[in-house]
Amino acid sequence: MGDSVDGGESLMALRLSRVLGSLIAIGLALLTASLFIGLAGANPVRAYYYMFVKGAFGNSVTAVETLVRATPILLVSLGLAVAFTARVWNIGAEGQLYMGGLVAAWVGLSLGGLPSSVGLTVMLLSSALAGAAWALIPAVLRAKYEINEIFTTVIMNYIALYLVSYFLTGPLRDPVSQFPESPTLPQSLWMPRLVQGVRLHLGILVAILVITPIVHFLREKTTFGFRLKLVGANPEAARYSGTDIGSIVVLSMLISGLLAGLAGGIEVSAIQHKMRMELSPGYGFTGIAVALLGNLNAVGVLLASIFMGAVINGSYTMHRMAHIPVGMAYLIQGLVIVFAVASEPISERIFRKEVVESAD
Amino acid sequence: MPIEMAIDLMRAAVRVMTPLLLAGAGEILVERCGILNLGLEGIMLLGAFSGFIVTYYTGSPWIGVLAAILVGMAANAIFGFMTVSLALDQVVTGLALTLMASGATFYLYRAIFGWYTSPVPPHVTTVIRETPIPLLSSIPVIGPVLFNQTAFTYAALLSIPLLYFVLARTRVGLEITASGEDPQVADYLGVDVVRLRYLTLLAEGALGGVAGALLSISQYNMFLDNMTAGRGFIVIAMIILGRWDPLKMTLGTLLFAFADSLQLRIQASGLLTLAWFPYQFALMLPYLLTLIALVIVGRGVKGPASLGKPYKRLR
Amino acid sequence: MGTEEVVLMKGIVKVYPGGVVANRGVDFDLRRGEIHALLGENGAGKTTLMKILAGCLRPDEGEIYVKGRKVDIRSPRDAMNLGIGMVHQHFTLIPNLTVAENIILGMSDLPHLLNLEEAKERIRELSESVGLKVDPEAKIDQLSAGEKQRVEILRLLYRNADVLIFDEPTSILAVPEVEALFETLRSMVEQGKSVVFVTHKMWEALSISDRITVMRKGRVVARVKPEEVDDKELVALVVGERVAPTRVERAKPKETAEEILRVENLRVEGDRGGLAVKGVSFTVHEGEIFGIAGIEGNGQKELVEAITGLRPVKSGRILFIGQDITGRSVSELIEMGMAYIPEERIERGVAADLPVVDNSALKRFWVNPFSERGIIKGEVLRKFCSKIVETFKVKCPGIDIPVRYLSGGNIQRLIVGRELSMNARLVVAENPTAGLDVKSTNFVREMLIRLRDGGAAILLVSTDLDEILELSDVIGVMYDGRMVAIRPAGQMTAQEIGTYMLGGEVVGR
Repeated sequence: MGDSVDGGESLMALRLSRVLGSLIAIGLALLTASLFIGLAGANPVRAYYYMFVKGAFGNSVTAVETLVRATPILLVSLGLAVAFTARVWNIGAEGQLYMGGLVAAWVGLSLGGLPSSVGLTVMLLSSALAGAAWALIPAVLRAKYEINEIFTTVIMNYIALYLVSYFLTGPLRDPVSQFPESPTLPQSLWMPRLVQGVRLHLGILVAILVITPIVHFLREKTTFGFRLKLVGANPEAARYSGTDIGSIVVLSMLISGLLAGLAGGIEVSAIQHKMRMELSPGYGFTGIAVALLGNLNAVGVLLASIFMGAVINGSYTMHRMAHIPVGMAYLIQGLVIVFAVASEPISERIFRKEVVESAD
Repeated sequence: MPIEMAIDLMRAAVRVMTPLLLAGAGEILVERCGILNLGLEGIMLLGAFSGFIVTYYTGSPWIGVLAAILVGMAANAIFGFMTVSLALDQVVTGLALTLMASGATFYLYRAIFGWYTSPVPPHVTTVIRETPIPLLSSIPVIGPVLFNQTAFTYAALLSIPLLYFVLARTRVGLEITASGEDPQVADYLGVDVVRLRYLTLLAEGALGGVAGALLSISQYNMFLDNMTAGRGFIVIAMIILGRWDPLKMTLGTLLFAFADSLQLRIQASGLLTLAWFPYQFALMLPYLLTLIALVIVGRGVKGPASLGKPYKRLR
Repeated sequence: MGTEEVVLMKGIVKVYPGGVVANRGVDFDLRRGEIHALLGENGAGKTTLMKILAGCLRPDEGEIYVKGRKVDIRSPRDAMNLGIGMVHQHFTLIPNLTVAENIILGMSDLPHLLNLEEAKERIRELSESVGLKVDPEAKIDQLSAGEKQRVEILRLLYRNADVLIFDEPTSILAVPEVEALFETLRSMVEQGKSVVFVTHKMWEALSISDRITVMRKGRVVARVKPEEVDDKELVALVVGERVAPTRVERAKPKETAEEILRVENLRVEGDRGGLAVKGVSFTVHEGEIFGIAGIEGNGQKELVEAITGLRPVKSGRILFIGQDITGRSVSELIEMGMAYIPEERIERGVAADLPVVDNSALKRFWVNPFSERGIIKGEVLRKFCSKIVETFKVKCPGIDIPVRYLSGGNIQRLIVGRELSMNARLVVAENPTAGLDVKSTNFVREMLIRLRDGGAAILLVSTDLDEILELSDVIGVMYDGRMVAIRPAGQMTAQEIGTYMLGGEVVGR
């Protein structure tokens, strides 16, 4: 054959090979984790049954809880997917999330008597801007002075955590609580719940139905998304086609900071109703794994976030019923990301077999 | 009194610097060979965990350190397989390995010790003692600071000139540098780039493992989740600041170690009872200083020409 | 001088993975103490044959005998152990290391503790014995091209090579350096070494060698002694039956043609500071191919980068369609109608991990009709790409697959197609046929001519003199950052251009 110009079969094959790669990674991670489950004296099949069937999707309550877990992960990893597409390695989502949460609580507590919708909007916007502002520093250092963002973002995570800790023990501390946490927000600033009795809050819908499509559109359909991919794939070619690399670096970092900050704001508004040191069990890092597992594609990231949400949520049932320590979720997360990276040659081979070689 | 405080501070700084120096020596070795290993943080964490567990159960910190060495080497062998043999992206692989180490130690700690079983976390009692060097340790100021430390501190301090010597004066050092600059040319001239990359990675795994173990069994006497607290990344930042020169990297790690020791002392001193100095700012100090150092001296630094680029053999 | 054969190659066949047949059953022999020229045009298979001998490539068929013994050369190290070494066109030196370190690097019998003093001493002795002056303590990136070549030669001598292969060694040298190199070669054969001299320049083969093997299209067509042939016979052997390229004359007379590009007294800095372009002026008109000849590294790259907006201008002006474009951004220039076919195709011309369709629109995606208000129109892009793939015969299994699955020739077709499909007023083409097979080469050249006839101005920068002669309407020669000659094609012979390229003066002008 040869000069064929197809209508998208190769595109399907390419996507399929990547999805297969991610599924293989999940499979291998669960298989490896089952060894540890076995070592802990439980039956892996039963343990996974508790995790995924009973714990994560068993009934509407647990399924909603899975989405509650998945939402901050989704927001963080959507942003990271944007940055990682341009090979901007933002490792600072955790700090950006905390700054978002801190500013959300601060703004929320200072807003008096605004109508709920306005107050919520202002609060969430400021949380997003806080995350973006925290990301702006490493972004500018990278774009202007070629200082590697990996190290600056890692360092800024710690600075953010100590800053939050300072505010929660000092200026923003709830005077009547024994814990370092802020006072509770007025109920008007609690994210509305859509169904009685479960924590299905508005933020979940916004993240899945509004922000995911927006990021998808941005990455796949706009000239900005095109430039993101170009800078990531070959900065030299990007320059040669007239792309200002510095501005792409800054913008992609800002978007990831924005979404991480928003995730923090939503957690404060919808789940905690206050700012706490335990706002995130490492969503900023889970987001790294999820962005890569989802192949940096918004749809893939959505599915991967739900998977990780299910693993984290289900790990509590697994703990209760099969006596596996709660940390199992993080073990699986760590294994998934290693296998996701290592599965690249596998999906490459599948694709090569399916498309490239069969074309000769 | 102030003099004694200063000596105590410097002595602590050298002790805190020890693991950073060992990890840094290992990372310089692999980076000079063309590999950027962001898994160092994970290696250290695995070393801290395995060193602690084995010491806890055997009662011997030496066996603990040995375990940390083996675990570090094993982890870096995996990194090597992915980045050298499979030629996968080094940044992504390194980050993945670090996340894996974080998740694995988090889980295993709970699997072994249970979930908050006791209010006092498990800790090791047999610590690694200082071995003062006769004569030298009695020199005023320098003696207690440099010559009344553990064997690991001496090893770490010696590793820097040794590394310097290996890189500048030996055949393997020349071949490592060449592999980091241009692996194609090095390979063409008969250098076994793949073997060297594995070798340096194994060396780094051992050094990083020891570095982590020192954190858990020598500095804290216990294991804490993510207790490396970014030190693996900070070491790499210090290597960048030091332009891949072992001696300059030492200065960078000393800066961090000094700030870290200082903040502990600030916290312990009465300073914090004054309302104007929150302890969080003390904790922040080492990170803040590293960030400032990066901004001032870390601009547009260029490393070994092939650093971070996968090398695929053509023949 | 003995007649003992040190190397004998029999029936060598080499087919590259892309399907290009470089050697079709080649026999070659080298005698002790001779300089043997391997002569032929670009793409005749000379370099491939010698890379096989030096262990850089493995032959698909054929046998090799060294000093009478049948050998299997699997690596450059194997070749070195047999005393065979090669000085490549592209240096195999590590810029950050010193001369001495580069020379000893990779030797199998190197002691674990380096004795650099001893090595330096031996290098000094060696360099005196063959007249190659070089400071063993200097870092490679401080050396000139000629000095680097000396280091390469010294490295072979240091390893006791007695068969030395030189691949186009004079292409990077200035005239006096060429003489010095020839002296060195002569002194080496006097010491009993044997030399293969790969070249496409006839006079070199005639003046330096004891024997000449002529290759054409992967075959040996003649083995002669320089004293037995004259220039014309040799030309016939090298070129074959082929008639000299007939240039297609331009359609529009120059007088009425609009000026598209004007470069005025342009100065541009090089990568390591210092001027790389030292005051260059010229103009290119519509319907004209302006060919810039010159040896690699004489400022062409920097000139092109300045014109295409990739490198800042130190002083001087560049006018494009009457507007001063000095300091304008790359995207503005693209929008104004400037196309650029870069030499580094994979590095600069495409993003290898992105699909063919994205790469086809690399220079257009942000303008109408490919996108509107920042939103890309996928269907327009796909149609545009399909048209390029069809028109320019890009072989690919589908336009959504990453470009890295395409062969080099097809990537170049894609780039050429992309650049030529943008209705450009000016096309800057940098060695557009380097590394391509004959079919692709002809295709690219035809396209350039077709475009010129369509009214575009073309700035062709090429180190391939034949290409310049075949395509250009006006020829400029660059040497040491200056345009040393500009003349209409036909008013300058290949010999004259060659002389200018090497920094010589043409007598009588």
